[in-house]
Amino acid sequence: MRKAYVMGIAMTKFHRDPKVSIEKMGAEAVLEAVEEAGIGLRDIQEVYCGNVYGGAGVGQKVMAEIGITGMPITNIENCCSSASNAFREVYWAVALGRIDIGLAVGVENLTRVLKGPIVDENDLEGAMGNNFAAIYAQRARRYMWTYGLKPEHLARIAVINKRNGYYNEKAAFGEIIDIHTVLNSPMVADPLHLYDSNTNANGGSAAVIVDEKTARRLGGKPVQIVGSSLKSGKLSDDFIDMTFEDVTDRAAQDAYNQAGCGPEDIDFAEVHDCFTIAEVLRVEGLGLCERGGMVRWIEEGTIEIGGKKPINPSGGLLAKGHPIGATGIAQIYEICKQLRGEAGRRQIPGARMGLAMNRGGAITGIEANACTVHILRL
Amino acid sequence: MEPIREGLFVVNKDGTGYLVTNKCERCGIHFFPVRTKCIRCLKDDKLKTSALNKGGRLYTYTNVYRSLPHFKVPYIVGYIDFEEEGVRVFAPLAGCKMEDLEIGMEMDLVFEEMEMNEKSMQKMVYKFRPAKGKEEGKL
Repeated sequence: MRKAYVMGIAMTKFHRDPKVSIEKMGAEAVLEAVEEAGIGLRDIQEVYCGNVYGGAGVGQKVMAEIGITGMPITNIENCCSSASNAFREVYWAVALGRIDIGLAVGVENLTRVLKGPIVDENDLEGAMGNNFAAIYAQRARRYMWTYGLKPEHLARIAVINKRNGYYNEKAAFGEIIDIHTVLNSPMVADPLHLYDSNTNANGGSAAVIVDEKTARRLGGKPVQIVGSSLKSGKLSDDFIDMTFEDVTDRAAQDAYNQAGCGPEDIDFAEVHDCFTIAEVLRVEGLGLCERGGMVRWIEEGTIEIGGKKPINPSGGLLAKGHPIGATGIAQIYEICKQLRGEAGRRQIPGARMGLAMNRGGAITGIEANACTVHILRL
Repeated sequence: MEPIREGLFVVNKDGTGYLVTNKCERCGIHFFPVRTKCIRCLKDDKLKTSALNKGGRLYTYTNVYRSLPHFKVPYIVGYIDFEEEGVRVFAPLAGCKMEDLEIGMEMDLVFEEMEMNEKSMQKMVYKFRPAKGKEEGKL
């Protein structure tokens, strides 16, 4: 195993303009990441591209837009965790010594193809109306019944993430609101309101990952990847507890083992807050907080910038928007910005180790199609 | 009326019916929808088809206000646990308002068409409704 580093990382501003092509968004992110890394385009030895709704050959289209192909280009669809999955493949290609310089891309134009909540109608439960808002609303209701969480707690998460996003120039939906804005917004799936939900968006993200020798040669501010895990949900032969995330737990434990650390060593995290309740479930699934403990963490401000364990300093999916094929690398972008001390007004003082958790999809019978956990440090 | 999927359930002329499940008699695990292999022993030689025609307990539920355009909103859905079989089933909930529902309450199995904005898309599905005269069954 070799050490591997993020040498350059970039994301476009997320937006809802359906006219901006995936080629353009992908190329913008790639060129910026390559420039930051200080490499030439011809140095890229392999490309992995995450995308869900763009059809065949999205990675090739992005690279052709830039003007360079010929290297292996692999496209990855793993629902909302496609980009972090692409990142993982490049990480392992470098760590296992197959390549020295690799490129991970994520890109999505979601507003062109989708007019409502994301649902897989080929899936049985999806065809019966179990869209993602419905799934998370049902998990929220069970969690509230079990641990005494209130809609006001969930609203507080939206307030925090929207505020963090207000200070993030890449976020599409950052704003300063109070819990009444959330609680008075239209219901999406009871108890989740519109402001408890992420918004479909478009955007691109990219990362250049290199081995240690190349990192030394390039100088700059490399961020080391110390844990990279991907899991799928398990078919269960018994009732699963929908207030806890087995797949998140397994991915996190694997990543902690690789990094030689535990949840107590993580200074901050970007987690997949597709809905406010999702942030609760993720923070506990990652073991950052004990089960049911998020109720107090929300009340005490633990998850805010300035708190003991800031969550989603970027604003998360709730404030950035969610271009599903690009989100995973955009999360890692924030981890790198924070670790390098480049996060401006949302900077977490003394951030040394950060975790990014991304997940996506849920066919009938399994909790999630994919869940990735990445741990990075300076 | 056409079922939402073939092989999921059987409905009689009088509206009663059952869900088609199967069980691995080696491992004692029930499946719905049926599986072609047991997920524990990964074999099919002990799989036996069975019928599930009773009620279960409400694990959680929601009222959905936003969905794809052909879904008629709002609609109530939930997960029902069959404790003896260890099977959890997602389904639309019928004959109830949100205030009638409570986690842990007993629900009866019924077969109805799924209401959609486009008539041509309406299919027969299994649903659950609060059990009649079983108030003491609440957790």
